[in-house]
Amino acid sequence: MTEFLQQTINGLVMGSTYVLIALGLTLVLGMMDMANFAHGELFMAGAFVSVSVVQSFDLPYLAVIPISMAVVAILGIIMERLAFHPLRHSARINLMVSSLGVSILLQNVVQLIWGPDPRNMQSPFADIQLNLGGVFINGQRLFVVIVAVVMIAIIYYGIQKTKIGVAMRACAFDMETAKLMGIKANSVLFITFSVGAALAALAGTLMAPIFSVYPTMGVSATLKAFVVVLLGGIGNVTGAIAGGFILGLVETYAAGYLSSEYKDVFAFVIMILVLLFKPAGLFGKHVQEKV
Amino acid sequence: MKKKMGSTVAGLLLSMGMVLTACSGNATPGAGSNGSSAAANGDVIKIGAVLPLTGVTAYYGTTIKQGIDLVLDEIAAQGGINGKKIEVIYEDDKGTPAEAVNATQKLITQDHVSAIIGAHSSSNTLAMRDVTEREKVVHMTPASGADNITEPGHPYMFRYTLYNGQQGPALARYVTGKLNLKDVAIVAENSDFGRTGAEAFKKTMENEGLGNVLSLEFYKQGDKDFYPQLTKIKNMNPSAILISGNITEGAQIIKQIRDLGMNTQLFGFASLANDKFIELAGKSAKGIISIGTFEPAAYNYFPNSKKMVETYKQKYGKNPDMQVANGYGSMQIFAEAIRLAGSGDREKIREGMKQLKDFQGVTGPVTFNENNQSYQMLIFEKLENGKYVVIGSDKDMK
Repeated sequence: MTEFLQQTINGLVMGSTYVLIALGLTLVLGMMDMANFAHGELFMAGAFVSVSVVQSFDLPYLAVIPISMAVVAILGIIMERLAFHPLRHSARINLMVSSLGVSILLQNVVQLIWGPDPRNMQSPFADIQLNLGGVFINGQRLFVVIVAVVMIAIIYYGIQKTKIGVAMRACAFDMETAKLMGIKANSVLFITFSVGAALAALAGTLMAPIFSVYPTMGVSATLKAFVVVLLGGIGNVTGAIAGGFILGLVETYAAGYLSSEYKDVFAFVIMILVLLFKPAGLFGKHVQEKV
Repeated sequence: MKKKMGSTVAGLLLSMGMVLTACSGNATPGAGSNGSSAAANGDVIKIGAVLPLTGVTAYYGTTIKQGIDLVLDEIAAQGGINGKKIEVIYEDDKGTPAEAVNATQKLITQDHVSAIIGAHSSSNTLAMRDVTEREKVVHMTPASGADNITEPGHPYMFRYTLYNGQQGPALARYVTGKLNLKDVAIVAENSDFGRTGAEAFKKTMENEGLGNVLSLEFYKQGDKDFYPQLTKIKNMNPSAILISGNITEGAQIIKQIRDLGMNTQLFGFASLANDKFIELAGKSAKGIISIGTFEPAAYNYFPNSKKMVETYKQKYGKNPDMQVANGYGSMQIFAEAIRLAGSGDREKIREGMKQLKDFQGVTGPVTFNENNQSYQMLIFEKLENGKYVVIGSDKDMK
């Protein structure tokens, strides 16, 4: 029983970071109909910005989080303006290839600046160790879950209830009609990109003290985020939240009880099954075909 | 539109996933075989080096390169070998077999190198060997541990580092014999190196009745979350855990082991015996025991290393590790083989390599056996006060 509880906690921690990374991806994917393969690099950039801010300015960890989010949000906007905006009327595949290019570019730029060696980041919570009747959770991991859950709630509320959230959903549903209704689609895109990038950076900063930071760390993050998005349904915020936690838990249980060797295979098997039997994703019932 | 989008994305993802996870490295070899005479022309003898200079394993590649560069400086200061300049052409394999094969092909057919050093990972070295064997170019790995690289005998493949069939059994005997820890769990990287290391250890434990291997868990290179496997291992209550992998993941595994409240004795293969690992793992690594073939400042074990250690410290401001020593040693060996060959002729260099008898290299005397495997002394080291301390060698155990 203790083992099962521990595995459940392990799964929830991973799941909450998957949600943070996938939220930004699903928003952009829903709105622009474009798969941003450079999204994981925003996660990586977030981690690198945090590490270097901590090292060069000696700031406390908590102060670094908003700095990293802001810097990467700007990076997200630049990315949109330079690599995606000029291509918005061309075929979708051009946008995808452009994003792949951005992904490779960012990996190399980061490597040029910081070098290829893995790095460590210190967190004030890393030394706290909670023992709940044999179930262990490290302070930093608990912090990850708390911040992620609060952030997910804020984003969820923002998208469902606020004016800009409604505008985002309208644009995701039908960009052209939304424009006719007086929504400034351009600014909505701007905001979506920066929010998505900031969330990825948050995930990067939260995970940096737990995992090593290195230039190619974003690649697997991109893959996992896409699995989550396809699982939950493209552009579906509720779906991304549920999908992230489902993926985290399934992976953990599979590695813990079946085979760790094929841990990643399970993620892809689920994705294929969902696409075969429920192509719109588990929560995608409201998604309609665009004409 | 969205449905179509979903399947396009899925298709792209799956192909990306395949590239990332499978990495079978069966790149199609290009045509064109250049005779060994092509390499012998001119006053410059070119050596190729295929190493991971970027990617997850870049740390190893850059340190091996630093070792090679030190020897090049020395050779240049002496005015070359037999009046000929030695040049090393570095190629980045990014840690993937396909890149390693392409780089090897390029070095042989375009640059006409006389011999090749590389790669770091066993999977890459195995992929490269297909090319170097076909093109009859001497190939020496300074870092790959999988047994089948040199076994059962490949005329052009040499190895100047310890191998899993040597370190696995030695570690198993040390852990069970000297330290009396009988129940071991293994966490291994799912690669040629990680798998064969774990298997060599396990086989010795079982065949010699030394103890039990409670569990053998695999992970993929680049993984970050090891909590599921470690939670399972924790439940089995092992007295020791062996990590058969590299520093980036190894450091995470150790941190996560401590996070789960385990105080079990930890062990690692030679891949963990370096300063970068100590930095990444922090205090979680305290007390870990590693096997290795070199340790700076352990001059009673490695009397020939003093000059190298001092020059390295001066140039890079840190201590050299086993990878630096093996990079340095590999280049020393090639330089000596070229001296014996008297030219950059590929076949003569191979003969030179076979002639080496107790060549006084940086980590001790070098002789290649019938499988072209060099003997290197094994040391056991324990991490105490943030530094590896030698606690014994395989010589002491006999």
